[in-house]
Formats: sequence, C-alpha cells, structure tokens
Amino acid sequence: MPSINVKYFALLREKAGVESEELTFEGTYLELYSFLSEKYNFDLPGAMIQLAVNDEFSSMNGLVAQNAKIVFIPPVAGG
Amino acid sequence: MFSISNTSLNRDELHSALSNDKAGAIVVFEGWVRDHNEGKLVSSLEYQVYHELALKEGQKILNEAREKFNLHGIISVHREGHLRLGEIAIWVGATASHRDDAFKATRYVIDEIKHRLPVWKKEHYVDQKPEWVFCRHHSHHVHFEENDYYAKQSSVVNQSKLRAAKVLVVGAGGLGCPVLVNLASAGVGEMTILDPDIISISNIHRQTLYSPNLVGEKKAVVAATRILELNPFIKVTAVVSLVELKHIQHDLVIDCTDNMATKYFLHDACFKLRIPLITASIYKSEGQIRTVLPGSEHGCLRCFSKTTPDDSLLGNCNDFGVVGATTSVVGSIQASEALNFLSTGKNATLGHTLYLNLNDLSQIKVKNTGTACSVCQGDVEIYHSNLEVTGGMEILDIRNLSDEEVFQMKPSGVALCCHRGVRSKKLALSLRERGHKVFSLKGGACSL
Repeated sequence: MPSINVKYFALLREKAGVESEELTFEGTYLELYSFLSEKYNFDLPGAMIQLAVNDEFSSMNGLVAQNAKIVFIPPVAGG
Repeated sequence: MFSISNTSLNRDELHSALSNDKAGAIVVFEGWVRDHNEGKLVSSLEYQVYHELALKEGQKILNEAREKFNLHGIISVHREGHLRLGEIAIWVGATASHRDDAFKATRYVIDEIKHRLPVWKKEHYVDQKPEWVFCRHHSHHVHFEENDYYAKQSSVVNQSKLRAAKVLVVGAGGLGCPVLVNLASAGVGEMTILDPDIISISNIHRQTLYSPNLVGEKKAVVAATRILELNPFIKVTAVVSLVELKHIQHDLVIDCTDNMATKYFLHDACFKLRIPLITASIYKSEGQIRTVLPGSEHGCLRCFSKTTPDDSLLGNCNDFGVVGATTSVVGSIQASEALNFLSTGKNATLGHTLYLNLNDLSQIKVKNTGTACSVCQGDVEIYHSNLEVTGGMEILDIRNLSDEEVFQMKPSGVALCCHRGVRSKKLALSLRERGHKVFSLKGGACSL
C-alpha cells in the first residue's frame, strides 16, 4: 500500500485539526478524499476540491502513487 | 445649479438665467485663460474633470453658499476640454436682495471650487512642453513633471508599457484597494474599476481607500477619485455594476471579487475573449494567487474539474473574518504580479499558483499543469451573460417556492421573478450551470 503525505489547507485544515499527516492508502485520489471526508467530516464535494500531487495540479481520478506529497485545496472566495 | 461644459460659455445666457425682480444685486466672477503663469508664456489650457464627483461636489458648494448667505439665485459652470487664451474657464454668479450677500457668496463659491473640485489643469506653453498644474489644496500652483513622478521606479518597470496598458479591476474591496493603489501609483495608463457595492462601516478595517465619512457612497466612484488624487497622470473609469461580458475589453483583468460565481464567470469570459487574468482569494490568514493566460500551456481553473464551486458552501470574508494586513499583502502581491506581467509579458504566478499562509509565513507553489481542456481552448458557455431581462418572456414567480422546488421544475426559456430580483438572479445562475436556459427578471416583482 502506497505511503503518502497529505497536507490540508484553509477550512479542510480546520476540520482535520492537523496541518499534514502520513498515511497509507490504495485507490484513486478521489477515493482518498472520500475516505478522509468521512474521517474528518469534510462537507465539500470532491468535485470542488483542487488536488496537487508533488506540487503539481493533478486529476482526482489518478491512482495514489508511492511517496506522493498530496495537497487538497478547497476553493476559497474571500476578497 | 452647478454644471460642466465642454463648449465656450455664453455669459449673456448665464446672466439672464439669474434675472429675478426680487434681486437688488448680481455679483459675477469669471476666471479667464491668461497668457502667462510663473514666468512662462501660456498658449492654451486643458481641463480634465472627474464628472460624477465634480458635479456632486460643485452642487454641494452651491448649496452651502445658499445656506450661509441670503441669496435669490446662484449658478456656476466649469469648463473642460481645451481652452484658448481669453476664454472663460469658470463662471460664478449670485443674486441677492443686498450686494453684501452676493459678493460673499460668489467669493465663497470660487474659493471652495478651487480647493475641492476634482479638476486637473494642463498648461500648454509657447516655447516648452505642456505641464499639469495642481491647484488643489495649495494656495499657489505646484508644477510636476510626469517623469519625475516615476523617477524611482524607472529601472524596475517598463514605464511606456504600463502607460499604454488598459486594466480592468473587478471588485474594489479588500483585495481591490491595494491593487488599485499600487497599479495607479505605478502609472498603469487606463484603469476601469467595477463594483456594484456601497461602502459600509464594516468594510473600512480592510478596505484602505475608504473612511467612515464615506459610508453609503459607491465604492467604485470613491476608489476612482482616491486613486486619481494619488496619480492624476492616469485615466480611471468607475462602473457601478455587477460585471458583464460587455465590460471586459482590456489588456488584463484582475479578479478581486469575493464569490465563486463571479470568479468563474471572469475566468471563463477571459478564456472566451483571450484576455489574461490574475485571480486571488483569501481565507482568514491564507491567500492564493494565480495568473491564467489563454493560449499558454499553463492550463485553467477547470482543467481538472468543470464544477463551479458553490458559494453557499463556502462563505466569504464577511462570514469567516479577515484582517486588513492579510488582504493588503495578498492584494499587493496581485498588483506586483500585474506590474511584472504588463512590463515583461510574464510573471511568477503564471507557472505556479502561490498559496501563502500569513500565520506561519509558510508558502507552497503548485505547478500550473494544463490539460488543454475545452475551456483552455475558449470553448466555454458564459453563464452570466444576458442573465437579467426586463420582460418580454414568460415569467415564473418563485416567491412562494423553495429553491429545491424551483430546481425540480427544471424551468427553461422563462424569467424567474422574486420580490426584488436578487434571489431570482442567484437561482437563475445556478440553474444555468446545470444546463437550464433561464433568466432573471431585473428588479423583481417591484419593477412590474
């Protein structure tokens, strides 16, 4: 099972209560997000989340890669 | 009555407009274009007037004169445009039963106009280059050269490119204020400020162009006035409106808005119109900044998901709280990115989106990977355009329906109508994003 580092931003960070964490997970990034949504009560749908893998915007449908540095970025609109 | 004229003033007409059998005196002041100023030979004068504010301020001055003095009538007209020697630049006339009131009122009005009216004067000389002359807040004239204004930045920007640039700033709030100040003082030649809102007291802690005495005034108009005071060498237009497709015709758009519906509308419109966009958002002490450039390999906000985030799930600065220091930093980065882009055609946030956290001063930069999706190609439906109608189609009254009930009806080809047209507009937008071609009745049932 791939070992990964997941980092959270903005409201996701507040809900998760941690800035980042080490996990193991097998599946797509969307499945990972759904798993974490259940764990932390994220209420934003996956389609609204931007994903960066190893500091590059990526598709939620890709498979979680070994040692991936993952960031889930919720949309923010303040101005 | 105060007015501004772009043609020669007719003193006889102005005079007879004041005639009144009760008046025992008229005192008229005429300001003329003279042939010299501070040792220079003047050949002509050019006046630039900031209309919306000048008309308001001019009328205010006349009203004050009416309150202070016992008058029968008072008229003043200020010229704009290019004036020849000997032409009347300003005319003030006051009538009263007794001469003292008429003298004092005329004197009061001309002095106040000189100090308070947003008018800029350029002197053309017989034997040297024209110069802008600043009269406001000075008892004597001060001369400035445009080149001196920019002297300390000429080695770090391309001034002629900035001067030639036309930039649209959407939103004159927390991000918009620092963006406007920095772009204006850097000498971006033409700016349009778009904002439908008025200033409220809870804006001022972060929206640094405003002050408590301006609560209730239109943001776009006040912002335009303030930045013209900072730099009178540029052109600024204020538009008090929600953004529509017809407003976007610039070299660069800067998104300083606070909601996803408008952010994604601007984004899609910029791809459709092939105009670069610098967008930024804030959440508490975090900010994000990205530049998108149609035709580049750096992608768009919809490359990995076509969904427009739903504002009702997110909230904005008013909901979650923010300090002025955060909006100032993020807006200033946006401005800096704009100046780099206008000067050189590139900047740092085109290749990478910047995520900045002002609590721990951490940042990450995410590479803007593109998938050359349909939106990148400009193949995108603009949901916002022609959203509001004033009639001419079937009306669906939604005042007694819940949002869910309206969604279930899957309306098409109709105009939604609520009380004032606010809720119907929001719903129509959501329905369009779900593929239903609906409209919103502007002004709602109140307008029928």
